[in-house]
This record gives sequence, C-alpha cells and structure tokens, in this order.
Amino acid sequence: METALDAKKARELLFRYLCYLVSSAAGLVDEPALYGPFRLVDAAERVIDIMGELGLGDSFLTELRECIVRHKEKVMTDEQGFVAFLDQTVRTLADELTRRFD
Amino acid sequence: MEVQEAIRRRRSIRRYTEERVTHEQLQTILESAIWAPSGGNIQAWLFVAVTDERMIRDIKAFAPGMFGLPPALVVACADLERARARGGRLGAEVLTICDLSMACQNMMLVACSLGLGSCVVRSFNQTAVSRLLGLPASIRPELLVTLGTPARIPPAPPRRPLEEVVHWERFGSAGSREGR
Repeated sequence: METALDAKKARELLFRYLCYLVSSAAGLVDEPALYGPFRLVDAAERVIDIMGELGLGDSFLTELRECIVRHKEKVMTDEQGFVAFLDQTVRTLADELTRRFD
Repeated sequence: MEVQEAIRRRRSIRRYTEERVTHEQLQTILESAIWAPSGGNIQAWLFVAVTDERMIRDIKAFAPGMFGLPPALVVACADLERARARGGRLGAEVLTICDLSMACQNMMLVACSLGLGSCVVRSFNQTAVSRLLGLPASIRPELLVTLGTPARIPPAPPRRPLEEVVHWERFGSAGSREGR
C-alpha cells in the first residue's frame, strides 16, 4: 500500500528524471549524433533505478541494468558493438513484453 | 607521483565510493588550477567547489554527462566581464575556454597524484547550473570536474597512434622522424 513517504519519494525521483530528460534534449541539439542513443539507453538505466527505489524492480530488470552498465560505454570505443547491444536489447525486451503481458 | 605517471594513470571515473574528499585535498586540487597557463595572464576563471550532497544531486539532474554520485565537484567558470575587459572577443570566446581546460587538466592530474579519481564533464545545462549556484550573468559555468575515490577504474581507451597524429617539421610527414 502506497504511503505518503513513497509518494513524496516517487515525486522527487521522477522530477529529477524529468530534469535529466529535458536537459538531455537541450544538450543533444549541439552534441554528437551518437550521444542521442547513448542518452536514451542511460535514461533506461535510470528508469530501472527509479523502479528499484520504488519497489518495482525484479530480476529481469536487474539483469538488464547490469547489461546496460556493461555495454553503454562502448559508445566511446566500439560503435558497432554499441549498436549491436542496442539491437539485442530491443529483441530481449520484445520477448519479455510478450511473456509478461500478452 | 611523476607527472608522466599521473598523465598515463588518469582515467575518466564515472563511479565513486561514498568516501568524502577532504577540504585539504580540495584545497590542493584548487591550488593547482590557478597555476595553469593563462592567455595574456588574464585569469578570467572562477571555481565553485561543491561538496554538499543535495547540491551535487541537483546539479546532476541537469548534467546528463555526469555519472554516479561524486562526493565532490568543481564547477569551472568563465568570468566573462574580466575576459572581455582584458582580452577582448578572443579572450572571452577562446582564451578563457583554453585556460579553463588547462586548469581542469591540472586539477585532474593532481587529483590522480592524491589517489583520487576525476572526470571532466561538458554535457550539462549551463543555465540550470548557473541558477542552482546563484551565479551572476557575467559568470558562465563551462566545465564540471567530478572528484572522489574511484569505485571502478576503467581500462585505458585506445589512443590514435603517435605516427598518425604527429607530423614532423611540416604537414604531410606523418610518421617517425627517421622514416622521412
């Protein structure tokens, strides 16, 4: 059952996330093209963090987060590897979406 | 630690432990900043050292290029009024940025020599950070340097080889000096 404290915490976490998203959008106007996908996958990691802090995490999300942490910095050293990681992650998410909700 | 060793050992640290950076360490690091070269010796720089966790969290919310939660950071700012008054347009638009970059490199190398990690960040919203820090319009934040004890030291990223980027005496002679 949601408490007032949970709601306050959720509001702060989501508001900070909102700040991050809008700052990213503003920055990406002038930043290198690959920063776009990088920011989005970083945002995905932050969403998982928020879900965890709100008690909505699970083992799939924990594993996904670890995968993101492991691969996201490839954007600076291995562009092909970074793109392959994104494609693979989309496939994994599609399978998981079907498994969870269909 | 020798300078060359610090240069080679410094990595961009994106995960820190909770161990705090002491005031003495920050003083030493900041002292190194003001000894960086400065075009025309204008020194149109200003540094805001931040250790308050709440402020660091607030800055992080507007700094997509900042990862983890560092226990300290330095906001390296351009003093535009001083830069324009003493260096003209070149001072304000070019020299101050060069000076700040060199000051940040000094800070990162000294941090490394103290056993601390660091990361320089440019992906942040200057307007938001100015407002959070209460900076006047003539002071513009240009770079953030995060500081702390590394939780993970990443491997050295590849570097373009010297032979590819160095030309001896004139352009078109890339490669070893002996090879020309």
